[in-house]
Amino acid sequence: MSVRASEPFDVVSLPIEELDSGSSVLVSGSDVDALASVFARLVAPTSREHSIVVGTDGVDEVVRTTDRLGGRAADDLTVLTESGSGPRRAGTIKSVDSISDLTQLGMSLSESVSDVNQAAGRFRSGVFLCSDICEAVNDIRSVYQFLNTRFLSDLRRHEAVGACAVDTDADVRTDMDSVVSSMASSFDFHLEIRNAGRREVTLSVSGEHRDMDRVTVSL
Amino acid sequence: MERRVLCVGIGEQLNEMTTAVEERDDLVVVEANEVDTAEALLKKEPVAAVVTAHELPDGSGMDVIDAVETTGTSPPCVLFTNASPADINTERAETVTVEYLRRETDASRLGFVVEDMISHDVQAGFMTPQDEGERLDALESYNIESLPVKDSFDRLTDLIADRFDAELAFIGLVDRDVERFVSCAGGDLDPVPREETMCTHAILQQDVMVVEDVRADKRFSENELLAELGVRFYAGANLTDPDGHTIGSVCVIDMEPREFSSEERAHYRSTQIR
Repeated sequence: MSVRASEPFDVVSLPIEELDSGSSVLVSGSDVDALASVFARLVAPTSREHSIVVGTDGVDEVVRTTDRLGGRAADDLTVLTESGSGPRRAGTIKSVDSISDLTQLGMSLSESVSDVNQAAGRFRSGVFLCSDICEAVNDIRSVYQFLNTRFLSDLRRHEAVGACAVDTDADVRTDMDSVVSSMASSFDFHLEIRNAGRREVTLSVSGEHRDMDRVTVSL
Repeated sequence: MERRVLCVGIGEQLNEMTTAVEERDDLVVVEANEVDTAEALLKKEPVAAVVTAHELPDGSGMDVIDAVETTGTSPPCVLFTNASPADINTERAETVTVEYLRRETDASRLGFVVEDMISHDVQAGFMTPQDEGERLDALESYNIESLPVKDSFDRLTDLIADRFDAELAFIGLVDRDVERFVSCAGGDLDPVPREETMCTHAILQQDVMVVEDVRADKRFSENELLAELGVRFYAGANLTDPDGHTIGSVCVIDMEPREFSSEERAHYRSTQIR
């Protein structure tokens, strides 16, 4: 039941053109719009796929970009979000009482994965913004536990890829550079947004067989 | 090696859990029909994982998970139920990540998920590096405690404690579940669960890790062990083998918060051992 598909997941307009099943990507930067744009390119579902995104404030932009890329947000995107926030629309919107309740969030994510498994089977998973969750909890270790138990485990067990976005300017009462370094060491790829304009971003790409390429991509 | 899995439920649901788990090699089931029985079993002997129904005669699956938390261990837990997560009260377990499997559709995956959770230590409250397997192999192959380096390490930690005017300086090896200390100037340190250490975070970054005030850092402010020890300041540099695997840290700690200037950081970098 641990499936490593032979067919990789395509990625639009980024220097990582495709991702093998099980791959994880960390996206970090201080421009939230640029983060949303890069993140959306990693999680936007293509045909025969579904996407499940844990979304905080700002996930609206992810949904809009997902739509622009393929127009599948209304059908194939599930967003898990805190009650009262979240996108105006998506295929499915599930609410939890608080984004800091990682137990309920984790169970809702499991339920969504189970639903997707029954239908499409193949999915992209994401957390936008992980830094907002760090801000909401009392102990960042619980976020690491959530990532290990849910996010990274789902990628290992299913035909799936995942992305996690971190706003490096977020005030989470810790050394964000250190947190990003810690997370990056567990992910297969790290895309750091170095410079963001309206129509393009400059990324540093590190990870599997890559060593800090710096690339400018159009959005 | 046999690993015990506690399955809590009644009737057909318990049979389903037990059958699914026992299909896996090396997993042995211990059964309980009630929260009280589960609690007693958990106190008696540790388990590798827990699978529980939500509805139980004397409580709920979340009561079982609450009991797991009180044991001080953290085996992974699966809630195996048709109840929706939205209908489950998670108030008391806000920081425990519980696997949820819908009984109606996911029963066939239960054994696989339990085995995966155990073998990947998913409940860890710390990130692990991509080379964790090789890193642990490297640590085991060196068997540092048997090498004639104790005197050299002791001289190094004395020097570092003096140079940085720190209360304690130590060299710690970060193993799979614990950190153990091969040298310590200024005190004695017993092995510490890896989840509670700061070095497990330090080994994940190339540069030195400095925490100027532990109580103000959300990664460590709720850490009861650090609070008990009175640790307020930490600086750690990597102990790396020739193949690039970081097996531990060279550290200083203080019982008062302190600032670490950029000059001091630069000097501290020189303590990294490669």
